[in-house]
Amino acid sequence: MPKKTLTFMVMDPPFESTRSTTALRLMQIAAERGYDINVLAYEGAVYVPFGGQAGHPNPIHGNDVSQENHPLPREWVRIIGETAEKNSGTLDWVNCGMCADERGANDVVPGVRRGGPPALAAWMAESDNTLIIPTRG
Amino acid sequence: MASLLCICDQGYRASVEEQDDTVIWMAHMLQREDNTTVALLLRGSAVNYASRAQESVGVTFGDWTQEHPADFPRDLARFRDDGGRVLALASDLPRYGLTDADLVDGVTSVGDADVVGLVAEHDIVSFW
Repeated sequence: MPKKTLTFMVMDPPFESTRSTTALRLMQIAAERGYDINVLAYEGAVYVPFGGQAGHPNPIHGNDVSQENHPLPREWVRIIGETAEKNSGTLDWVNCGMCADERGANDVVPGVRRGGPPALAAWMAESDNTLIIPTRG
Repeated sequence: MASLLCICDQGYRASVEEQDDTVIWMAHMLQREDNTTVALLLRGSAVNYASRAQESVGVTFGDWTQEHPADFPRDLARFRDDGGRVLALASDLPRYGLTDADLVDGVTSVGDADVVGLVAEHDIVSFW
């Protein structure tokens, strides 16, 4: 299978919609195929790799924190990066720096770097395809 | 005692990560309070929460597999066990291929005109 380069732009924060989750699932498939993956996280999506995410107990489910085993998107970002590397691909995740600053979201998992629209412009020019998943009001 | 009508309009909004629906969760937490009684009206895409045929298998990332994907029939049953009332807007059911026979036990479908009465009989109406 020929190696591809895919670029994603995501906008929605974690824990509030399915859009960024769906993007992560697509990235995982691309990582398993050894593709090179570029991501620009814009607006609330800068919280997807936020290092401060933590699980919690759920009194409605009757689970303690361990039993609940709460999904954490920051862990999914880490796994996507590891999967890509294992399959000779790459994950280059850029958090919009201004979006992160205004939200206080600069505590991120290793491998995530700051950037902005110039990164997206460069990636769009060189990628096989670009998928922009915008937010909706 | 305050009565609250929660109208839930958006289904499956963040249910992968949250492993439930945050509106149903909030309705259930409020129902557990001594001074509150809650009716949950499902409409729009949220009517599918009442479908008994649904099955969520969870997501997988690499070696990580979700252990507790959202289980809406279970969550609605537990809400009812704690005294909550679950309603589904009848006019939205066929939009999702559902009939009354497809709904989990204890969910009552209501017509559009019935909503007026529901709004009138509750102290607080919240549209989520």
